[in-house]
Amino acid sequence: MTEKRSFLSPHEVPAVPGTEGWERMYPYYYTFTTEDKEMQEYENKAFWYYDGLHYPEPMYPFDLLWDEAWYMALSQNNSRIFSIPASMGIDHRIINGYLYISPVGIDDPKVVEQRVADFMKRAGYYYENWDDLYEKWKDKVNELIKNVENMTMEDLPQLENESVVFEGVGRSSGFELVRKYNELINYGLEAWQYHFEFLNLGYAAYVILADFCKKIFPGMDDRTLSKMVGGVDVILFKPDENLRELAKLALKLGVQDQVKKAERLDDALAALQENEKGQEWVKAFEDAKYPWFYMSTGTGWYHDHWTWYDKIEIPFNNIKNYIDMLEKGESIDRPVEQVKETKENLVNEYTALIENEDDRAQFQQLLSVAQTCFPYVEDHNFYIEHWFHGVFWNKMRDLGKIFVNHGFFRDVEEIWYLNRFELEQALYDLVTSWATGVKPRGPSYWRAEIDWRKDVINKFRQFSPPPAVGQTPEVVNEPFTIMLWGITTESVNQWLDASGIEPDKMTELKGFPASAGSIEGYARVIKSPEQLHELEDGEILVATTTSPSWTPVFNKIGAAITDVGGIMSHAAIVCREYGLPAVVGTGLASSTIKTGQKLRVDGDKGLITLLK
Amino acid sequence: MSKDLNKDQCYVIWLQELNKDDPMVAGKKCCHLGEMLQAKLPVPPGFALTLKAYETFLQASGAKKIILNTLDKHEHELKNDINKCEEVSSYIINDVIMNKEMPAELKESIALYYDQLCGICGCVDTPVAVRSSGPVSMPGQFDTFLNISGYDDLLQNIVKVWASSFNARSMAYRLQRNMAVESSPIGVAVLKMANARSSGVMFTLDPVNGDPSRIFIEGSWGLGESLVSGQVTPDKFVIDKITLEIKEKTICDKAVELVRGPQGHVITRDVAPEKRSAACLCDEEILELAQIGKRIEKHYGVAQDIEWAIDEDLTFPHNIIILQTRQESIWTKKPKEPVAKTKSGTTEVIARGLMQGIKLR
Repeated sequence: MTEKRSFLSPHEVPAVPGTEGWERMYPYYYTFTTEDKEMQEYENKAFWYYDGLHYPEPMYPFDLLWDEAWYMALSQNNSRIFSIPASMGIDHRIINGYLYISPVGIDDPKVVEQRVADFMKRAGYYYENWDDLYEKWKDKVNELIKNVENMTMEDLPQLENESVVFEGVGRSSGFELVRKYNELINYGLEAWQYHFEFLNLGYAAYVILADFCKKIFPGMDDRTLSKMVGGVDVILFKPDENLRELAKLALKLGVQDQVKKAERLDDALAALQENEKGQEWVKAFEDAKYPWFYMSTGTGWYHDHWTWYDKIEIPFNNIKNYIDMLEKGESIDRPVEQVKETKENLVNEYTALIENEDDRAQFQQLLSVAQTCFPYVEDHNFYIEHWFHGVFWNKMRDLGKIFVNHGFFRDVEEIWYLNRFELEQALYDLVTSWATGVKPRGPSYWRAEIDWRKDVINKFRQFSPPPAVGQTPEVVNEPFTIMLWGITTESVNQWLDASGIEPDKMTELKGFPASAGSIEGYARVIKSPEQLHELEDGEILVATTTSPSWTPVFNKIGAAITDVGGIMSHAAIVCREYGLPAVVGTGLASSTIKTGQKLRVDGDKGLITLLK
Repeated sequence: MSKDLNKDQCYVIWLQELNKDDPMVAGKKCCHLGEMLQAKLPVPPGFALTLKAYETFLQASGAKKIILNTLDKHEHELKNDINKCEEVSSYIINDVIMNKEMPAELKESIALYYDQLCGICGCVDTPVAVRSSGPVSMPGQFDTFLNISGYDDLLQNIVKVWASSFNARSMAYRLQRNMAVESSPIGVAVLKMANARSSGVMFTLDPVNGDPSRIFIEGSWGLGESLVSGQVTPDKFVIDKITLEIKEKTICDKAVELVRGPQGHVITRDVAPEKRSAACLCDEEILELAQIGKRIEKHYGVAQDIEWAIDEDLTFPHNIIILQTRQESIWTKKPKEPVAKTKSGTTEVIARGLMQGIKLR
C-alpha cells in the first residue's frame, strides 16, 4: 500500500450561494448527511466520484428517475441476483445538483468465497444460455415499449362518458390518470431492470479478459481489445446507415436536387410528392423511420435529449450531407468487410503470440465469452436509452399538457422541475380538485417553487463538480467502475494531483488513449447538444461526454476529448470507428479548456497539451 | 561426395550457400546471414571464409607450430596469471600471425570472390565489413573491422580477425573453461558495408516487460557502434507488433556519429546541429523495419535481437539493411509462469478475477 491520499470530504464541499435548500428537489436519501453519525462516517470513508459520463449537467428533479432506476437495477444484479464476488452495489448521492457514485465492496473473505459459488452457478447459466436469453430479452423489451407507445394521456372530462355508468365501470378518468402515471413510471423502472439483466455479466467478462490480456501483453491497447471483442453489425450504427441508404437512393432515383434544395424537410417532401420517383423516395424515408428515428441527439438520459423524430431536420440535414459527399465522389459506406477482417486478423495474431498452451486456451475461452456478451453490451442502449426513453419523454409531455391546462405549469417543459414523487402528489392534487370542484393548491404552490428551482439549477451550472470526494479505496472489484467509468490508479492519482492546481496554470491533461493519432487544433467546448452547430471544421470537440448520435459532427472535427468515460464510452467507440484521435476520461477537460484555445491531442498517449 | 562435404572443403563460400545447419563450415554468424539471405531478408551481400581457410592459413604459414610451442612452454603460467595471458597473446598476434604470408591459393580464392562482390555492388574496391564468426557463440570475443576497402586491406583485416582468436580475452575464456587453448577456428564474414545514415538495434518484444506484442527499436545517426558503445543516447521507438502503429517515440539529443572516413576506416564526428534532435528514422522506415522484424521473428519462431542500418546510397524500402539477428537472450530464456492459474472453466476464471479486483493504491 502506498501513501493514502484523500479527496475533500463529501460533507465539506462548499455550497453554491443562493441555492440553499436545494436538497428538497431530490429524494431525501440522495443527500450526504451529518445527522446520522454512522452514515456520516460511512460516507466519509467511501470513495465518491462524479458521474459526468451520464450526467454532464445538474440533475433536473424528474430526470433523476433514471438514476433511481439504475441505482437499484445495477446494484441488485451485483449484490442479490448474480452474486458478483467481492462487490455489492453502487451507492448514489447528489452534491450541488451533480451526481456522485460509490462502489460498495465486501471485505469478509468468507462471504466472498460463498458468493463465488453462487456466482458460478448463476452467471454460468447466463453465459451458457446467453443467446436464447437475449432473444427473450428482446421480446420482453419490445412488448414493454409497445405498452408505453399505446398509452394515451387525456385531460379529464367535464362529465364522465355515459359508458362509465351503463357498463358499470365504477372508476373515473381521474383515477385512471393517476394509475397511468404510476404505470408509466413503473414501465420506466421496469425498462431499467432489463437494462441491467445482462450488463453486469457482460462487463465482468470483458474486464477479466482485459485483465488477462494485460498480463501477457502489458502494452495491449484497450481499443485493440475492443476491436477483437466488438461486433460488426452494431445496432447503434443502424439509424445512420439508414440515412446513407436514403442518400444513395436519392441519387439512384435522380431526386437528389429536390432533397438538397429544400430548406426544410416538409418543403422537400412536398416537392417530392409531385412525381413518381419522388414518391418512391418519400415512401423509403417513411419506412426508414421506425424505430430508428428514436435515436437520441444526446445520450437519452435527459428530457432535452430529443430524438430524431422530435428534431426531424437533424436526420434530414445528415441525408443532405451524405448526398453532397456522394456527389463529390466520396465513399460513405462503413468499411464493414474491413472491420471484420481486422477483427479476425487481430485475434489470430494475438493467439499465435501466446506461447503457453493453457494460457492460449484460456484466452480463447475468455474471448469467446466476451464476444458472446458484446452484442448486448453494444446494443442495449438503443432499446432503452434511445427508443424507450424517446417514447417515454413524450408521454410525460402529454401529461405535462394536462397540468398546463389546469394552471399548474405555464409550459409543458416545467414538468421536469418536479421529481417523480412530487409529480404524483401534484397529480393527486389535480384530480381531487377536478373531483371536488374546488380550485387546486398546485398552481400557486408549484409556479413559485419552479421559478426558484430554475434559478437554482442555473446556479448549479456555474459550479464545477470535483471529480471525486471521500477516500481512495485500495481495490475496486466492481465491474462497471472499472470498465465504464474507467476508474484506475492513474485516473485517481491524476485527480488527486490536479485538485490543487488552478485551471489557468494547467499545461497538460491526461486521460485514456481512446483512439490513435495526434493533432493540433482549436478547442470547441460543447456543454449541450444544442451547441453542436457551433463546431467548425477541424476543431477539437471538448465535452463532458458525447453520444454516438453526434455522428454527423464526427465527420467535421479533428479530435475529441471528454471528461468522463472509459474504453466503452460512446466517444471512444465512435472515434475508433471514424479514425479520429480521442482522449477520454480526462476528468477536467471541459472545465479547464476554453473554446478557441490551441491544443495538441495525442490519442496514443492519452495526453492533451494546452498550447498558448 | 555430398554437397555439405563440399562446403567444408572450400576456403571461401557465398553467404547464401550456407544455412542454419552449417555452423561448422564458417561459424555461426555466417550461417545466420546465409539463412537470412535465403529467407529473402535484406541482408547485405557477401561471402564467408570457412574454418578450413583459417586452419589452412595457420598450418601452411607455419604459424600453428610456433603457437603450439609457445603455449606448451607457458602452459602452467597461463592458467594462473592473467598478465601472462596478455603477454603471450600479444606475442602470438603481433610477432607470429601478423607476420605470416597467406598461402597463394587462399589469396586467389578471396580475390575471386571480392572481385565478384565488387561487381555485384557496382563499385571498385567496395567497402566491406570484415566480421568474426565463431562456431559457438561467444559474443564480443573476437574482433570485427568496418569499412575495409580494396584487396590488400581486405587480406590484412581477414588475418586480423583470425588473429583475434588468440586475443587475451578469448584465450582466458578458453582456459577458464578447460577448452583447447591452442585452437579456436573462426570463420569470417565479408559483407558489403552499409553506408549507414542511421543504425541501431531492434527487439521483437518489449525488453522492459517481455511483452511479445511490441517491437522496440533504438537507433542513432551513423554506424551502430556508437550506440553499442554507449556514446550516444539513442532514439527509442515502440511499435505495436500487431496493429503496426507507432506507440512511442522518444527522440534524444545525439551529439556524435560514426561514419565512413575518406580513407576507409571509421571516424567519429559531431552531428550537424539541425540533426541532433531530429528522429534518426522517419515513420515509414520505422514501420518497414517493424514489419521486417516481424518476418524475422516468424522465420525463426522466437523473439529476435536484430542489428539494422539505413543505407544512405539506397532508396526506401531497399535502404533498410539487416546486419545481424539472434535470439533475444533474456525474455525468451526466462521460464514463464502461465497466467492461467488453473484449467478451470471460464465462469470460475471470471469469478476469481473479480475477487482480485483492480488495485487503486
